[in-house]
Amino acid sequence: MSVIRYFAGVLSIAAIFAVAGCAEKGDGGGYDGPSVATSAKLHFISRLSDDALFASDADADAVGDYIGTAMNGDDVTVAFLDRTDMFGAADAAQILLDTRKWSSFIALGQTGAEDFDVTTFVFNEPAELVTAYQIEQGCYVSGRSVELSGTLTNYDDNGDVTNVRAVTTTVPLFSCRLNSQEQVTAFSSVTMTDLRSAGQNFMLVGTVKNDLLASLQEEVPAANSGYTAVQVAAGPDYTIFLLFATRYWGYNGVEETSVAGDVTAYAVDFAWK
Amino acid sequence: MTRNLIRICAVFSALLLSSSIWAQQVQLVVFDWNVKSFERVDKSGETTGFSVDEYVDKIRETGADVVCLNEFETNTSRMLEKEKMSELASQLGMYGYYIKSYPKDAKGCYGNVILSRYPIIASGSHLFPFKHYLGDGNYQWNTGNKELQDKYGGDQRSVGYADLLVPVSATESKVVRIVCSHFDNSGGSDCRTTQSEESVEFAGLASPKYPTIMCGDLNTTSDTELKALYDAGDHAGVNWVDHVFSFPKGAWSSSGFRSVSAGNLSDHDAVVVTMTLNE
Repeated sequence: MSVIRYFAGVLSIAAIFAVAGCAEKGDGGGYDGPSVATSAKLHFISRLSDDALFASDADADAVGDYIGTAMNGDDVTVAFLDRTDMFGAADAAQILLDTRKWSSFIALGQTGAEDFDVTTFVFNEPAELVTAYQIEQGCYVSGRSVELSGTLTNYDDNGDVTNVRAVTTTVPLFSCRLNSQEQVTAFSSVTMTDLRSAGQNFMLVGTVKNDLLASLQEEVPAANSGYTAVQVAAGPDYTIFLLFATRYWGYNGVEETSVAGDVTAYAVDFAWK
Repeated sequence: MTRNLIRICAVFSALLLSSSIWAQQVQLVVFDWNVKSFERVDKSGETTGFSVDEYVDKIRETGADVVCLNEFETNTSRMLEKEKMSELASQLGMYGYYIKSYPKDAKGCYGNVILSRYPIIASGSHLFPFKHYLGDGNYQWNTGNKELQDKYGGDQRSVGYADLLVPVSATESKVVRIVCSHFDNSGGSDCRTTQSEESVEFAGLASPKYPTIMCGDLNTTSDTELKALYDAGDHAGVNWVDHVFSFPKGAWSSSGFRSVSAGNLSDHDAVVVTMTLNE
């Protein structure tokens, strides 16, 4: 079952596109929305809880089926499998084998002498470069540039669609998890600077403890007013956020699909200038 | 073998055989092997569907924490478009990074692989300089112009790295860089000298960002051709042309360097060594 949440995106579009450079219509008619809108999607699969992604073989099979469907169509997209962890490394590799995908990994935190929480970043081609920046011991931001399929939609003065064109956009895309106020502060004050040094137009899709979202949303723009952290979806313990520079990117909304039990796939729709 | 059994084996072997973390020291069992694209010496690989099972057994027997593989073909039509790195990773419960040298067939490629018991948080790959006598878009059989072959080699080669997060205690971890390459075997001496120098420059081996181990089929035992590597680091051992180096000098101790007979699985034996990071 899919739940599409675009109300937040609708509220965002006018503000974001006003900054993002899409032409606004001010004259005539009652439509004052953008004349051009962009859209591309990435997929974030998670329980948004303190549990690992794969509780059973059936969970791994269901996630694999979702990846096979979401990532083997004509549109090029990517996916994050949140909390595949070390115990699920074999399952994650099996999904890559079955769906003919490639991956990199994000170390979310160390949980023991031989254990890390890990996210698997899934994409279509071997990665030439994946970079990582430390937030704190055992906790990193990692990611790479990916080219995604998207659409560019033109609207007339009445807000009617006049043309939809397939386009691509290149995104320096990263992920991380923020589990504590110390991590939120370290990320906002230090790690973001490292990310920006590598490229100001980075985008980050990650998770943050529910009760730390407000702090993140305050500290990110306080560190740099050109960046914002938008809430995408909240779960039992964690919230997915999308972090980006508003001069480059925008947030359109999210479509939720139940994958298996408490595992949900979030198709995050974003815009670009 | 059920996936649960694979998970249990991975965790059990990690506890028994893997890096010693109680001494708060990084110790890695490092394994390197030119797997000849799983063809086997007698070319019987095709009849097995280029099965990786016996290769997995060989790796597993050593308790390797890090696995570097050369001559790694994947996703090609003769491999039935199966991604062989993921196939190995799923059986070993490891993380993988593919160092692509060139595309092969519609969807496949040829290159090197790094597998790790520990999460790979960053990675990179670099193509060595290469010019084919037939021009761009050609990657193999560079035999039509001796000057080009001598200088650039017989086919496109690459070097790559994977940065691993290795635990040293229940709460602390260190980043270790693993570099893997497969140098040219048909070009002149200058070709491999260049590939050594490019490896040092690309992976930062002269002043490494992290303690680094480099493995690979370097297709030479010439100190001259490998001078850049010898100048930057320490040599842990070699079997035929399969080497292990560590960087920077004095950062690592090596023990137990040995070859593992490949039998019919490859024309190269594997090499295994235990590398300990000196504190």
